[in-house]
Amino acid sequence: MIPEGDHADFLGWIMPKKEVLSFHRAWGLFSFLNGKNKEYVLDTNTNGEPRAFVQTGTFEKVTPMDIYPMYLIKAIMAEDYDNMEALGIYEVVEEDLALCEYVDVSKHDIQQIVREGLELMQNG
Amino acid sequence: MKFLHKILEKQRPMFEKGGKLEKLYYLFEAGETFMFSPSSTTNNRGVQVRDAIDLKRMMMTVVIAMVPCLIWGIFNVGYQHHVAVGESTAFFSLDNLLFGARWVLPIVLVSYAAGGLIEALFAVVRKHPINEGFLVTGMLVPLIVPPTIPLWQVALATVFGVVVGKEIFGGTGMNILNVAMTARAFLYFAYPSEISGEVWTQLASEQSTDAFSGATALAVAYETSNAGGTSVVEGLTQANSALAAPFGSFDFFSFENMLIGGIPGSIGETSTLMALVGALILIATGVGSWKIIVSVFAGAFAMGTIFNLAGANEFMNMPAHYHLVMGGLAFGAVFMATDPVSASQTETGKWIYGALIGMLTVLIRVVNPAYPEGIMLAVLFMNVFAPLIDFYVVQANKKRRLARATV
Repeated sequence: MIPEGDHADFLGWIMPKKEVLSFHRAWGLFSFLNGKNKEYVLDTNTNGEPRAFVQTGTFEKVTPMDIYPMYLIKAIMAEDYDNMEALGIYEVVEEDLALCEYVDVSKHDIQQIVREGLELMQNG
Repeated sequence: MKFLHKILEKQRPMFEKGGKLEKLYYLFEAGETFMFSPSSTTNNRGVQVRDAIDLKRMMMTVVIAMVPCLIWGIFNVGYQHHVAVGESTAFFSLDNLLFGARWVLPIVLVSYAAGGLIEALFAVVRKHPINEGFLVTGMLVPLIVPPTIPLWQVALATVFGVVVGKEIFGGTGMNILNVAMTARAFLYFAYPSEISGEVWTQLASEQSTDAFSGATALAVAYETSNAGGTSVVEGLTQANSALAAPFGSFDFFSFENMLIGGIPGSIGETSTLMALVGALILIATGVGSWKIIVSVFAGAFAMGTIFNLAGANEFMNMPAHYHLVMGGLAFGAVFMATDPVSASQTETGKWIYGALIGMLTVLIRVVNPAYPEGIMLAVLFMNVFAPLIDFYVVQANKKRRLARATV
């Protein structure tokens, strides 16, 4: 079971903390000090709130396929069928972009967006 | 801190749907999430754990990276003043700190106030969350204006930058132009007398000594080249030769002093060294793209070398490495060109984008000296072209995958 994360932390976004797991070095700059076998307790807190899309270049790093997830997601949001097809909507299902959803700084529901895209392609 | 959070939570119904201050919900949200990271949890669809990062943390990292430039800028404003009026002080002295803070901090405050106000206003009217981008913009604007700038111009430029540079394109994440550079370009073309010429030293109603000239290194280089006869390096050596560099026994406009940053210029741009410290923070934390930073410097150096080979005038003959420490190239490369939204978004595109910024900067400096600060126009110009670069990189990706596809 993953513990419930409904806690609010005072200045939680800027406080220096060691016990956090992050793909981004803006948090985990000194995480190598924790060693490789360090165990972290993750909870369901979103660690932030939805914000505008800001390109960080991390989506491409966590996607094994040769596609540009950010462009694909934007094409889905714009319901641009031609571009969705060209940018590789047929090559993915939700879970393929689950890591993108995990690392997203803007906290978007990326898998849900992909599902909407797939349904658009199926029904549209 | 629990009680504080409870007090805040008690106010929540007032801002939620049906509450009295429903319209101000996003102001409340911004205030609350600024103090407490939100207690929201992942929903039942999608991932169940989220990365610890959020946008605030990223933006704040950029602000932290700018702090060395700001602190140096504050001391340098004081130092330039004291040198100009003929007093000699140690660089890191209380005198310099107090004088610099007296002139720099109001600019920072005004820029944050104006930027934050506009951001909040648009968030309330458009009903979207307040984005933390203004934390960065509010700090960038003061660092790229001269210390003598009137405060109302800072406010006006910030408002112009945020509205025209960002909000009319749809807000954070959708802007084409770098907000802070838009603000500076606005100042440059709307109020040229306050942001060009000899405005780089805050004299504060004291008289400068006769040995002092307030021109920047780039202006000196241009003047020397225009007059002909002497080489630019010699011209730089002669300019302000009576003044002392803060560290070491270098000439005032020597390569070393320009690298360290004891020269007149915009508040945060003078020290290449401090910009590099900022670059180190950005690269170590992965917030800024090292590809862009490296390629801007490489592009500028390559263009400088090409001009060396051409050698049509003395400015072209100036050693290429001088370009890297003069003017705002380093600051622009580290903090302006790396803006993730307005920069090129594909990894291949970043190399092209950065290299062209560097080359254009030197091209504008040398060939069109009416705009001695090339980096401002180069960054804005490439901001406009970044989507085009990305378009071709993405197009190549589409073609590559299409070629692989079998029916």
